[in-house]
Amino acid sequence: MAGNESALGTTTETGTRAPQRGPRSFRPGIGVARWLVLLALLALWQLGVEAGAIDPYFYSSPREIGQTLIELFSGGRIWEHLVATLQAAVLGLLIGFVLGSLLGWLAARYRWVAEFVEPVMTLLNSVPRIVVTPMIILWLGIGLESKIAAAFLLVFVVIFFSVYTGIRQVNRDLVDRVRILGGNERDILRHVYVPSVAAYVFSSLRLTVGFAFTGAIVGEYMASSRGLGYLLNFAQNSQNAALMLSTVVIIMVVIMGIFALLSRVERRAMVWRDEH
Amino acid sequence: MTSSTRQDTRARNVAAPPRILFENVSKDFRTRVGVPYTAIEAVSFEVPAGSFTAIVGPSGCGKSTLLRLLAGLDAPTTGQVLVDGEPVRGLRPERAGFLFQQDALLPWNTVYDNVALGLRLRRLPADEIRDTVEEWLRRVNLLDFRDRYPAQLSGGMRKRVSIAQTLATDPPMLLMDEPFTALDVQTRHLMEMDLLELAGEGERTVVFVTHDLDEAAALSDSVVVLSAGPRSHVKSQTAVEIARPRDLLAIRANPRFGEVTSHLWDQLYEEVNRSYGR
Repeated sequence: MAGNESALGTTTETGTRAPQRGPRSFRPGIGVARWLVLLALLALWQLGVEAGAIDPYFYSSPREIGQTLIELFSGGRIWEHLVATLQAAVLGLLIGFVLGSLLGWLAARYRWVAEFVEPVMTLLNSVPRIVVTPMIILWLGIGLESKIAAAFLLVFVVIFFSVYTGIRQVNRDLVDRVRILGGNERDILRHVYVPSVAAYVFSSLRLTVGFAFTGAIVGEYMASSRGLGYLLNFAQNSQNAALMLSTVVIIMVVIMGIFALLSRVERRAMVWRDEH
Repeated sequence: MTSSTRQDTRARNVAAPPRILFENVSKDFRTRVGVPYTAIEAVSFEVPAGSFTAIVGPSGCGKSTLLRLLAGLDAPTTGQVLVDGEPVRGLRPERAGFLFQQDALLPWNTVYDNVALGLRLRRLPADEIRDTVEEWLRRVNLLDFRDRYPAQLSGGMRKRVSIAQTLATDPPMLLMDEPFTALDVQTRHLMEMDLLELAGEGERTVVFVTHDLDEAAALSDSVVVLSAGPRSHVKSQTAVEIARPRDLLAIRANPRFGEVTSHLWDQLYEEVNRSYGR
C-alpha cells in the first residue's frame, strides 16, 4: 500500500481547476446599482407627471400605480384573478409537461412515431402558436378549459423537443459504460437517460413557465370573466392606465418569483455542472 | 443474492485470470451504403492467463474491434474468441472490466457514486459497497475528492476514478482501449505506473490497445502487431521478456526495452507505409 501511495500521491499535482468566478457569483455592487437605476427611472416618471410633461391619463404614475396595487390587495379583489391565472398556467404547464415528455419519449423510442410527429411538431414550433387561441376559445368556451389549453399548446411543443432531443443526444459511451458494468435496460434508463434528459428539460423550464403564463393570460384577455388577462382587458376597456400597469406589475412579480424558485431548484439539481 | 455468490465476486483469487484465444477471427461491417467492409481477417493469437498483452497497429486497423469482440459488445463474423475455452457470447460484466479512451464517468454522479456504480449495478449489500469504494478511493488517492463531480476534476483524476470504478468490481479480465491517449505525457507516465500496481501484475489477464510503442513494451508481456486495414491480420507477436515487477522509470535503460521497441517500430513502420500507400 505504501508503494501505491507514493506513486499515486504525486498525481495530485495536476490538482483541481482553480475556482472561477461564474456568471452567477454574487456581486453586491451590481445588485445595488440595478435598484438605483430602477428607482431613478420611477422618480423621473413621477416628476414628469407632476411637472405636467407626462399625461397621467395615458401613462399613469408610479404613485397612482402603487395606490391601485394597495387597493387591489387590501380589498381582496385581486385574489380571484391571481388564482384563476395561476390555475390555468400551472395546469397547462403540468399537462404539457406530461404529454410532451410522453410523446417526446415515444418519438425517440419508435422511429415510426417520430416520422409522424416530427414534421407536425416542427411546423407548430415555427409558427406563433398563440394565434390559435381564438379558435381554442371558440371550441372550448370562455371557461378555465380554454385557458389551460392555450397554455398547454405553448408548453407542449417546447417540452416535446427538449425530451426528444435530450434522449437522442444521450452520450452512447455512458450507455455502453453502464451496460459493461452490469446494468440492464432499467439501470441505463435510471442512471443515464433520466439525468441526461432532465438537464435538457431544466434548460427549457424558464421558457415553458413564461409560455404557460402567456397562454393563460392571452386566453383570459380574449374572453373570460376572471384572471389577470381579464383584468388587463377590463382596464383597457375602461381606459384605466393605472389598473393596466398594476396588472403588468403583478404578472411580472409572479413570474419573477417562480423564476427565483426554479433557479434554486435548478442550482441544487444541476450542481454537477458547476466547475468549482 | 446469497452469501456464497457474494463471496465469489469479492474474493479475488476465486475467479482466476482467464486464458484468451482468438481463433481465425474475422469481422465484417456493412457500411452506410451497404458495401461490406472487412475490418479484420483471420486473426489468431493467444493471451496466456494472468499476462499483459498489448495490441498495436496503424490507425484504422481494427484494434478496437478486437477489444469489442473480446468484451462481447460485438460478435465475430467468422471464427471464435475463446475465454478459458468458452466462446464469448454477449456481455459478461462479472468477467471483463473495460477502460475507454474517454472517461465515460457519469457527470451527475460524484466521485464516490461513480466508483460505486458497478457494485450497485450488481446489487451488492450497502456496507460491502461502502467498504470497497472507500478502499479504492484510498488506493487511487481520491478519498478527499469523494464528493466532487467529474467536471471539477483534472483529466488525470478523472482517469483514476475510471480505473477505480473498473477495478472495484474486481474483473479477472481487464480490457483497455487507448486508456491514456487523452492525457498529457507526464500524467500519462504516472497513470501507467499506477495501473501496473493497481491492476496487480499477474492477477488479471490484461489486453490493451495503444498506438504508443513505448507504452506497449513497458507495460506488457507480449505485443501483437496488426497489419494495416482493411483485412488486417496479426503481423507479428513479440514477447517482451522483461522481469516483473517493473520499474517504469528505469525501464528505458534496460537494453531489452530498446531491442523490443526498435523491433516493434520496424514492424509497424512497414504497415504504416502500406496504409499510406507508399
